[in-house]
Amino acid sequence: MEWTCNADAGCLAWIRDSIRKELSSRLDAKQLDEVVLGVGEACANIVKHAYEGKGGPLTVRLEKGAEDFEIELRNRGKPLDPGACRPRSLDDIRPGGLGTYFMSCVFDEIRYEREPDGTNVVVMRRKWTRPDPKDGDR
Amino acid sequence: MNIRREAREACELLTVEGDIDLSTSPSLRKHLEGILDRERTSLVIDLSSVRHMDSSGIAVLIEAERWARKHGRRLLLASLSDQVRMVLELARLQGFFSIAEDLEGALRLCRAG
Repeated sequence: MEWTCNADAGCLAWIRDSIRKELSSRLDAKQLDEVVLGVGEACANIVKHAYEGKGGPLTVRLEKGAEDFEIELRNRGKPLDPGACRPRSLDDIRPGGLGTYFMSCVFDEIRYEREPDGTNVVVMRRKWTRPDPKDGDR
Repeated sequence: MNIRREAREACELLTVEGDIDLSTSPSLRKHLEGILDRERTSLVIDLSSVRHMDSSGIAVLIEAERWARKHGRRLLLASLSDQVRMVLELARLQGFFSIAEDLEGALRLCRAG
């Protein structure tokens, strides 16, 4: 499954709805909310940081495997600073910086890559069955 | 996102419906700034009809809670939807906010002062 849209704040609901619809037969309501949250945060990062609010192409690809599924986001904006992708400590209650923390909670693996042609790729993988993320020691 | 605002006994009630995300959280922030600046001491936000809230929505709520504390106002989150509850649990923020199980409970707390 693959979708392409212009990465602006208005496209986020459409991407979330598309992901929700595609995964609704395999995940329960809470798992769906978690995955949709993580994908939404990753896309919001692209809108805000990669394209700096100016928009540009964003391609979302979903691949379902036997054990897990993978969501890949491709954009041609500024490369993400790997340091900025590190989730912050929850002891520091302040606005901002929670998005990458949510992504790290709801996905088992996140990779940031930059292809030779300048395309930025974020790959997020999650097993179909996994422990409740809020029970983990993150 | 739709926002409905009503003056209730001893508090202002804000009912939020739909999605609170990057595109809509600035509007929520504007509403909260307008309300928290007024005389009433308490603000109740009914979140029962919020389908999706992301980190930008949480950021707005954290700012509002901080502002309310600093200026002697009370902010109560009421009747959280399952998605909002999940997000607050994930961020471990349940203890940071005052949360009422339902709207009636929140309004009762306001009347009690």
